Amino acid sequence: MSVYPISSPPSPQAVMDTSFWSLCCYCGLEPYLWKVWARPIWVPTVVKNQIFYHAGDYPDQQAFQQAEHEGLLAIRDPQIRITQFRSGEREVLSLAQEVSATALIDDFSAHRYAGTILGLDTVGVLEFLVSLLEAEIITLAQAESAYHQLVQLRATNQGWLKWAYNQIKQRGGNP
Amino acid sequence: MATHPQLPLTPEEVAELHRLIAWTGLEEPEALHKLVEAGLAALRLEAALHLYATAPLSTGEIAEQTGIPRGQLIRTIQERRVAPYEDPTIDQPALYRDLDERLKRRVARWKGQA
Repeated sequence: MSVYPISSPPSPQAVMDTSFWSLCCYCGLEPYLWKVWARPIWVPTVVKNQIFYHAGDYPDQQAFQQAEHEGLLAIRDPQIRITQFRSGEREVLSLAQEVSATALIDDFSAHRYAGTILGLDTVGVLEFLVSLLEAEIITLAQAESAYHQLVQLRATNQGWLKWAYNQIKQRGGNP
Repeated sequence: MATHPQLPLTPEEVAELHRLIAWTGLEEPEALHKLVEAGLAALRLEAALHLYATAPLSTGEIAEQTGIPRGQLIRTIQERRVAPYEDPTIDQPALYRDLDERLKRRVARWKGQA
Protein backbone atom coordinates (compact mmCIF):
# COMPACT_ATOMS: atom_id res chain seq x y z
CA MET A 1 0.00 0.00 0.00
CA SER A 2 1.22 3.46 -0.87
CA VAL A 3 2.42 5.70 1.91
CA TYR A 4 1.23 8.65 -0.11
CA PRO A 5 -2.34 9.64 0.77
CA ILE A 6 -3.97 10.61 -2.48
CA SER A 7 -7.42 12.11 -2.74
CA SER A 8 -8.84 13.33 -6.03
CA PRO A 9 -5.95 13.53 -8.51
CA PRO A 10 -5.23 17.13 -9.52
CA SER A 11 -4.48 18.06 -13.09
CA PRO A 12 -1.46 20.40 -13.34
CA GLN A 13 1.79 18.82 -14.38
CA ALA A 14 5.08 19.41 -12.59
CA VAL A 15 8.75 18.79 -13.29
CA MET A 16 11.05 18.36 -10.30
CA ASP A 17 14.69 19.19 -9.64
CA THR A 18 17.16 17.39 -7.36
CA SER A 19 17.37 19.71 -4.37
CA PHE A 20 13.59 20.23 -4.27
CA TRP A 21 13.03 16.48 -3.88
CA SER A 22 15.88 16.07 -1.45
CA LEU A 23 14.68 18.95 0.76
CA CYS A 24 11.05 17.79 0.63
CA CYS A 25 12.11 14.34 1.83
CA TYR A 26 14.30 15.90 4.51
CA CYS A 27 11.41 17.84 6.05
CA GLY A 28 8.68 15.29 5.34
CA LEU A 29 6.67 17.20 2.73
CA GLU A 30 7.04 14.79 -0.21
CA PRO A 31 3.77 12.88 0.37
CA TYR A 32 1.84 16.09 -0.30
CA LEU A 33 3.26 16.65 -3.78
CA TRP A 34 0.54 14.45 -5.29
CA LYS A 35 -2.21 16.29 -3.44
CA VAL A 36 -1.66 19.24 -5.74
CA TRP A 37 0.19 18.02 -8.83
CA ALA A 38 -0.71 15.32 -11.31
CA ARG A 39 0.77 11.86 -11.28
CA PRO A 40 3.40 11.27 -12.43
CA ILE A 41 5.60 14.20 -11.55
CA TRP A 42 8.27 14.30 -14.26
CA VAL A 43 11.93 13.91 -13.40
CA PRO A 44 14.69 14.28 -16.02
CA THR A 45 17.25 11.47 -16.20
CA VAL A 46 20.10 13.67 -14.96
CA VAL A 47 18.09 14.63 -11.88
CA LYS A 48 17.54 10.99 -10.99
CA ASN A 49 21.25 10.35 -11.50
CA GLN A 50 22.06 13.26 -9.18
CA ILE A 51 19.75 11.94 -6.47
CA PHE A 52 21.43 8.53 -6.71
CA TYR A 53 24.96 9.88 -7.17
CA HIS A 54 26.14 8.52 -3.82
CA ALA A 55 25.17 4.91 -3.47
CA GLY A 56 23.70 4.71 -0.01
CA ASP A 57 20.59 4.43 2.02
CA TYR A 58 19.55 8.06 1.96
CA PRO A 59 15.84 8.66 2.70
CA ASP A 60 15.35 10.63 -0.53
CA GLN A 61 16.73 7.69 -2.54
CA GLN A 62 14.42 5.19 -0.84
CA ALA A 63 11.42 7.48 -1.27
CA PHE A 64 12.30 8.07 -4.92
CA GLN A 65 12.46 4.34 -5.66
CA GLN A 66 9.12 3.75 -4.02
CA ALA A 67 7.44 6.69 -5.72
CA GLU A 68 8.82 5.68 -9.12
CA HIS A 69 7.67 2.10 -8.56
CA GLU A 70 4.17 3.37 -7.77
CA GLY A 71 4.05 5.55 -10.86
CA LEU A 72 4.08 8.77 -8.85
CA LEU A 73 7.38 9.86 -10.40
CA ALA A 74 8.43 9.13 -13.97
CA ILE A 75 11.52 9.87 -16.01
CA ARG A 76 11.11 12.26 -18.92
CA ASP A 77 13.68 14.33 -20.79
CA PRO A 78 13.18 17.49 -22.84
CA GLN A 79 13.42 17.47 -26.63
CA ILE A 80 14.97 20.94 -26.83
CA ARG A 81 17.17 22.46 -24.17
CA ILE A 82 17.55 26.06 -23.04
CA THR A 83 21.12 27.33 -23.06
CA GLN A 84 21.09 28.79 -19.54
CA PHE A 85 22.19 26.86 -16.48
CA ARG A 86 23.66 23.41 -16.39
CA SER A 87 22.77 19.80 -15.72
CA GLY A 88 19.58 19.31 -13.70
CA GLU A 89 18.37 22.90 -13.72
CA ARG A 90 18.62 23.16 -17.50
CA GLU A 91 16.75 19.89 -17.98
CA VAL A 92 14.00 20.80 -15.51
CA LEU A 93 13.39 24.28 -16.94
CA SER A 94 13.51 23.01 -20.53
CA LEU A 95 11.00 20.25 -19.85
CA ALA A 96 8.74 22.51 -17.78
CA GLN A 97 8.66 24.96 -20.69
CA GLU A 98 8.03 22.18 -23.19
CA VAL A 99 5.06 20.63 -21.39
CA SER A 100 3.75 23.83 -19.72
CA ALA A 101 4.38 22.43 -16.27
CA THR A 102 5.25 23.93 -12.91
CA ALA A 103 8.99 23.81 -12.18
CA LEU A 104 9.66 22.50 -8.69
CA ILE A 105 13.07 24.01 -8.13
CA ASP A 106 14.82 25.30 -5.03
CA ASP A 107 17.93 26.82 -6.54
CA PHE A 108 17.37 30.56 -6.10
CA SER A 109 18.98 31.84 -9.30
CA ALA A 110 17.34 29.17 -11.50
CA HIS A 111 14.01 29.77 -9.75
CA ARG A 112 14.21 33.52 -10.37
CA TYR A 113 15.24 33.06 -13.98
CA ALA A 114 12.42 30.60 -14.64
CA GLY A 115 9.81 32.88 -13.11
CA THR A 116 10.92 36.22 -14.48
CA ILE A 117 12.52 35.41 -17.86
CA LEU A 118 10.87 32.17 -18.95
CA GLY A 119 7.51 33.06 -17.39
CA LEU A 120 7.18 29.62 -15.83
CA ASP A 121 5.22 28.79 -12.73
CA THR A 122 7.97 27.93 -10.26
CA VAL A 123 7.80 26.70 -6.67
CA GLY A 124 10.58 26.39 -4.09
CA VAL A 125 10.31 24.15 -1.03
CA LEU A 126 9.44 26.98 1.36
CA GLU A 127 6.76 28.26 -1.00
CA PHE A 128 5.41 24.71 -1.16
CA LEU A 129 5.37 24.52 2.64
CA VAL A 130 3.50 27.83 3.08
CA SER A 131 1.10 27.00 0.23
CA LEU A 132 0.21 23.67 1.87
CA LEU A 133 -0.47 25.49 5.12
CA GLU A 134 -2.55 28.19 3.44
CA ALA A 135 -4.56 25.54 1.58
CA GLU A 136 -5.09 23.69 4.90
CA ILE A 137 -3.47 20.54 3.54
CA ILE A 138 -1.00 20.46 6.43
CA THR A 139 -1.47 21.67 9.99
CA LEU A 140 0.29 24.55 11.67
CA ALA A 141 2.30 22.06 13.75
CA GLN A 142 3.44 20.23 10.61
CA ALA A 143 4.42 23.52 8.96
CA GLU A 144 6.41 24.57 12.05
CA SER A 145 8.19 21.24 12.20
CA ALA A 146 9.13 21.28 8.49
CA TYR A 147 10.25 24.90 8.77
CA HIS A 148 12.50 24.11 11.77
CA GLN A 149 14.15 21.30 9.86
CA LEU A 150 14.83 23.54 6.87
CA VAL A 151 16.25 26.26 9.13
CA GLN A 152 18.61 23.76 10.73
CA LEU A 153 19.78 22.60 7.32
CA ARG A 154 20.49 26.22 6.24
CA ALA A 155 20.81 25.11 2.62
CA THR A 156 18.05 27.31 1.28
CA ASN A 157 17.70 30.99 0.54
CA GLN A 158 17.54 33.28 3.60
CA GLY A 159 15.02 35.62 1.94
CA TRP A 160 12.66 32.70 1.43
CA LEU A 161 13.23 31.58 5.01
CA LYS A 162 12.31 35.04 6.37
CA TRP A 163 9.22 35.17 4.18
CA ALA A 164 8.12 31.70 5.33
CA TYR A 165 8.80 32.67 8.96
CA ASN A 166 6.47 35.69 8.63
CA GLN A 167 3.81 33.65 6.86
CA ILE A 168 3.76 30.97 9.57
CA LYS A 169 3.81 33.61 12.30
CA GLN A 170 0.86 35.46 10.71
CA ARG A 171 -1.13 32.23 10.88
CA GLY A 172 -0.52 31.93 14.61
CA GLY A 173 2.50 29.69 14.42
CA ASN A 174 5.68 29.80 16.42
CA PRO A 175 8.38 29.11 13.80
CA MET B 1 53.54 30.63 -8.21
CA ALA B 2 56.42 28.69 -6.73
CA THR B 3 55.25 25.12 -6.46
CA HIS B 4 56.04 23.15 -3.39
CA PRO B 5 59.30 21.24 -3.94
CA GLN B 6 57.82 18.11 -2.38
CA LEU B 7 54.85 18.19 -4.73
CA PRO B 8 55.70 17.03 -8.22
CA LEU B 9 52.88 18.92 -9.92
CA THR B 10 52.42 18.99 -13.68
CA PRO B 11 51.82 22.39 -15.34
CA GLU B 12 48.13 21.42 -15.68
CA GLU B 13 47.92 20.67 -11.97
CA VAL B 14 49.61 23.97 -11.14
CA ALA B 15 47.05 25.78 -13.33
CA GLU B 16 44.27 23.87 -11.60
CA LEU B 17 45.67 24.82 -8.21
CA HIS B 18 45.74 28.49 -9.28
CA ARG B 19 42.11 28.28 -10.25
CA LEU B 20 41.12 26.64 -6.98
CA ILE B 21 43.05 29.19 -4.93
CA ALA B 22 41.25 31.97 -6.82
CA TRP B 23 37.87 30.39 -6.14
CA THR B 24 38.37 29.40 -2.54
CA GLY B 25 40.29 32.46 -1.37
CA LEU B 26 42.70 30.09 0.38
CA GLU B 27 46.30 31.17 0.82
CA GLU B 28 48.70 29.08 -1.21
CA PRO B 29 50.25 27.19 1.74
CA GLU B 30 46.80 26.29 3.04
CA ALA B 31 45.69 25.21 -0.42
CA LEU B 32 48.79 23.07 -0.80
CA HIS B 33 48.22 21.59 2.63
CA LYS B 34 44.67 20.64 1.66
CA LEU B 35 45.96 19.25 -1.59
CA VAL B 36 48.48 17.02 0.19
CA GLU B 37 45.97 16.06 2.84
CA ALA B 38 43.02 15.20 0.72
CA GLY B 39 43.92 15.44 -2.97
CA LEU B 40 42.83 17.64 -5.80
CA ALA B 41 39.24 16.39 -5.85
CA ALA B 42 38.75 17.41 -2.22
CA LEU B 43 40.19 20.84 -2.91
CA ARG B 44 37.84 21.16 -5.88
CA LEU B 45 34.91 20.29 -3.64
CA GLU B 46 35.99 23.01 -1.19
CA ALA B 47 36.07 25.45 -4.09
CA ALA B 48 32.57 24.39 -5.13
CA LEU B 49 31.21 24.94 -1.61
CA HIS B 50 32.97 28.31 -1.43
CA LEU B 51 31.34 29.37 -4.70
CA TYR B 52 27.94 28.21 -3.42
CA ALA B 53 28.32 30.44 -0.37
CA THR B 54 29.81 33.47 -2.11
CA ALA B 55 28.76 33.65 -5.76
CA PRO B 56 25.43 34.17 -7.54
CA LEU B 57 25.65 30.86 -9.35
CA SER B 58 23.28 27.93 -9.48
CA THR B 59 24.47 24.57 -8.21
CA GLY B 60 24.48 23.33 -11.82
CA GLU B 61 26.76 26.16 -12.89
CA ILE B 62 29.08 25.52 -9.95
CA ALA B 63 29.16 21.82 -10.76
CA GLU B 64 30.08 22.63 -14.35
CA GLN B 65 32.85 25.05 -13.36
CA THR B 66 34.46 22.91 -10.71
CA GLY B 67 33.91 19.45 -12.16
CA ILE B 68 32.13 18.30 -9.00
CA PRO B 69 29.04 16.24 -9.86
CA ARG B 70 25.92 18.21 -8.92
CA GLY B 71 24.48 15.30 -6.93
CA GLN B 72 27.62 15.23 -4.80
CA LEU B 73 27.56 19.01 -4.42
CA ILE B 74 23.92 19.11 -3.26
CA ARG B 75 24.45 16.20 -0.86
CA THR B 76 27.54 17.87 0.63
CA ILE B 77 25.80 21.26 0.94
CA GLN B 78 23.05 19.60 2.95
CA GLU B 79 25.35 17.44 5.05
CA ARG B 80 27.63 20.36 5.93
CA ARG B 81 24.73 22.81 6.24
CA VAL B 82 26.28 25.37 3.94
CA ALA B 83 24.22 28.55 3.61
CA PRO B 84 23.77 29.75 0.03
CA TYR B 85 24.96 33.07 -1.37
CA GLU B 86 22.57 35.93 -0.69
CA ASP B 87 22.50 38.56 -3.40
CA PRO B 88 22.61 41.97 -1.64
CA THR B 89 21.05 43.62 -4.68
CA ILE B 90 17.83 41.62 -4.34
CA ASP B 91 14.98 43.91 -3.40
CA GLN B 92 13.57 41.99 -0.42
CA PRO B 93 10.20 43.82 -0.20
CA ALA B 94 9.67 43.17 -3.91
CA LEU B 95 10.66 39.53 -3.42
CA TYR B 96 8.14 39.18 -0.57
CA ARG B 97 5.38 40.87 -2.62
CA ASP B 98 6.09 38.48 -5.48
CA LEU B 99 5.98 35.47 -3.14
CA ASP B 100 2.73 36.73 -1.57
CA GLU B 101 1.03 37.20 -4.93
CA ARG B 102 2.13 33.85 -6.25
CA LEU B 103 1.00 32.17 -3.02
CA LYS B 104 -2.51 33.62 -3.43
CA ARG B 105 -2.74 32.54 -7.08
CA ARG B 106 -1.35 29.07 -6.39
CA VAL B 107 -3.66 28.31 -3.47
CA ALA B 108 -6.69 29.65 -5.36
CA ARG B 109 -5.79 27.32 -8.24
CA TRP B 110 -5.37 24.37 -5.88
CA LYS B 111 -8.71 25.02 -4.24
CA GLY B 112 -10.32 25.40 -7.65
CA GLN B 113 -9.09 22.02 -8.83
CA ALA B 114 -10.01 20.18 -5.62
